[in-house]
Amino acid sequence: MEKILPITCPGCRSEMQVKSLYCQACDTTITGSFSLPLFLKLEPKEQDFIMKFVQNSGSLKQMSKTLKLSYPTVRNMLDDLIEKINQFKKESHENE
Amino acid sequence: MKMNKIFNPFHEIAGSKALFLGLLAMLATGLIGYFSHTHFPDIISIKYIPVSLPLWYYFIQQLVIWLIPSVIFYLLALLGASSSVRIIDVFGTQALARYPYVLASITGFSGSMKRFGEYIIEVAMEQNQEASISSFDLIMSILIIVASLLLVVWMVGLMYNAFRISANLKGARAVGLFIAGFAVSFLVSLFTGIQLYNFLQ
Repeated sequence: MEKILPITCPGCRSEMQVKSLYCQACDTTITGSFSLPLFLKLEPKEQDFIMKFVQNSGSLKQMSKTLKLSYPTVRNMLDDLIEKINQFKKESHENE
Repeated sequence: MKMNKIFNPFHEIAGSKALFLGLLAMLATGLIGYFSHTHFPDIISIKYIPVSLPLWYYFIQQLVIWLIPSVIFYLLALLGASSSVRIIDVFGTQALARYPYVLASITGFSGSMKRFGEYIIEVAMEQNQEASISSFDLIMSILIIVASLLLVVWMVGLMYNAFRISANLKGARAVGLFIAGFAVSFLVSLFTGIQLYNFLQ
C-alpha cells in the first residue's frame, strides 16, 4: 500500500513542516524545521498531471490524447493548477 | 457517469471532432426536418409548419441557429476568460450541443400534432364548439410537447456546458455570461429566422 504524505495538520488544518530527515544507508537523522516543496503540497492527482505534462513535452494536444480528454478540458486543468500554484506562492510570500 | 456524458460530452470531445459530429447532426436535423416539415426558426424553438420549402432553407436555418450563438459566445469568452480560448472549441462544442434536435426533427412526422394544432385553432380562434379531437391524438400531442420541452432543456444544458468548458469559466461568471449570450443569440436568431422566411415568400 502506497503511503500518502500528509501535508495539512489533522488537528488544526495548518500546513505541516518537515521536522526530521533520515538516511537509511548510514542511520543519520537531521532534525530542524523545513518547509515542504511546493510540488509536494499539491494533490497526488495534480502531481500526476504535472508529471504527465512533462513527459508529454508540455504539449496539451498530446496530453489530451494521453488522458483521453478534450483539449479545453486539459487546458482548464492546467489553468486551475497554475492558479493554485500562484495562490501557494502568494501565501508563502505573506508568511515570510 | 453515463448521464454526465449525455449532458456534458465536452470533457472528452471538443475542437474539430466536435465540429464534425455537430455538423453531421445538423445535416441530419435539416434533412429530417425537410421531410417532416419541422422548423427551427430560432435557437430553441421547434415548430411544425406544413408548407413546402426548398431543402437549402432547412440547411441555412441550421447554420444560422448554430453560427449566431457561436459568434456571440466566442466574443463573450474572449471578454470573460482569463486564459486563451480556441475558436474551434467554441464553434465545435456549440455545434455538437445541437445534437438533441435530431430527435426534435422527427416530431413533425406525427399526424397527431397537426390535428391538435388544427383543433386548437378551431376552438380558440374560430370559436367552433363542435370541434373535436380523439383521445389518442390528444395523448400523443401532450407526449410530444413534453418530449420537446425535455429536448429544449437538454440542448440548453449542453450549450451551457459547451460554453463553460470551451471558455474555462466557472460559477456566477459562467452563468451570467451564458444567460446574456443566450438571450442575445435568441433575439438575433429570431430576427434572422423571420428575415429568412420572408425572403422565401
